Amino acid sequence: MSLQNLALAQKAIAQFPGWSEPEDETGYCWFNAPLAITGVIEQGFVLHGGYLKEVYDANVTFELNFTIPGQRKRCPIARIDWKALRGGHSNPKRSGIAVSGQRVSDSHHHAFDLNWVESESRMRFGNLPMAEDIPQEIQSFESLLPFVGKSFRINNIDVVTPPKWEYTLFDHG
Amino acid sequence: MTMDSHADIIPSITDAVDRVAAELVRVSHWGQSSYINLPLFFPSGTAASVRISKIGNTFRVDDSGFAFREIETIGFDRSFPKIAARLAGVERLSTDRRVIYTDTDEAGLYRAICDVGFASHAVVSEIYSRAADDESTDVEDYLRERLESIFGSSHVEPEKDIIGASSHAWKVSATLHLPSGLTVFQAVGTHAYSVYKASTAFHDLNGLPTPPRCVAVVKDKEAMGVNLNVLAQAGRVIQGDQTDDAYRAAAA
Repeated sequence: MSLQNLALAQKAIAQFPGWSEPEDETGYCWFNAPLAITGVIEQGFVLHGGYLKEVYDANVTFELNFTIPGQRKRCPIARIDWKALRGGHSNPKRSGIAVSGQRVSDSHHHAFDLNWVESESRMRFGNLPMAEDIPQEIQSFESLLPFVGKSFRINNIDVVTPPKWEYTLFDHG
Repeated sequence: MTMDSHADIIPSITDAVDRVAAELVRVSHWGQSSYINLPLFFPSGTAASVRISKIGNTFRVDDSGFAFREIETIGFDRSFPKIAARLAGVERLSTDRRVIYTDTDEAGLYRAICDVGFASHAVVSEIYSRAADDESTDVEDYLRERLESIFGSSHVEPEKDIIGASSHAWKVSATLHLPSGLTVFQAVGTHAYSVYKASTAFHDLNGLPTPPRCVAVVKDKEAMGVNLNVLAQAGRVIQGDQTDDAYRAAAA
């Protein structure tokens, strides 16, 4: 199945494995959930989720990722970064793209169609370099999830459980 | 220019510059750690960032695994330890499986933040550069579309096995069948392995009693360096984005 078909197909999370324990060095928690299309789990096609345990109510990422069969190389197909700790995203300049050269906010969507080169049937080089803002009203994980489901065409996104953030009394932001 | 127009312009410049400068470096504090975003962009457009934590009387400055995450998503995470150790070692930074870090006192904090941020950025840049060298498959995708649009799909066979003079079967990107004869098109990346494989295949095919025309299709001739000469000794070379006429000339 082509990358374009993977991106555009209606999908379902075949099994949500739960969030990982935090990595010792980074505090990063993640999951890779296999995705099914019309009931068939596609080889190497996953929804990746991630957050940092101490950065609560922020810095969540969801990504559609495809591992090319027989290769170690992976191909990000689309990604949503919500309240990214690393701030807004800077789009490179490319002709014919509305968001070219723009800086978008720390909540943004690296949409498939922004990063797909139709004439060459390939993704743009550089890990989904183009992004656009996501709606400002998405201010909680609960409101983020349906947006991810709709954007990625995943019909059972609600199986993803909320992050187990480590809340502290310290100020942040 | 009048004084009034000067007055109009100067504040707008200072406002704009102040606003952007404030965004160039962003600081946030979470739990026991602080994070700084630096104006160094990974290929994804994300800013390189560092994390600062207090361990006893010293500051631990690390990249929080951000570089690792950036390359993990394209499947090159196994390259991280070796390349990070080499690049971080230049500034006497430490590394582990996922993180670049150093410990410092307050006097060395400024330099440590800069060094870790630059090293994190350098690791990702190098690994993406290697990944770019492995882009012949992208050329292949492009190549098939181009060939079919120029010559018609009935004349083009993608991913075809061709037997060389050695009797080895070479899988080539595409073959083009025209009344004037057979042309073999091979997408070639800048990586040496890709160049040598195509060159060897072309030499083997040239040894046939009725050799096909062999055409290497590269993404960027200039980026090939001397490898362009290696290819040119075995076959014709065109750049993928050349005109339809260039493709026709190569197949003639």
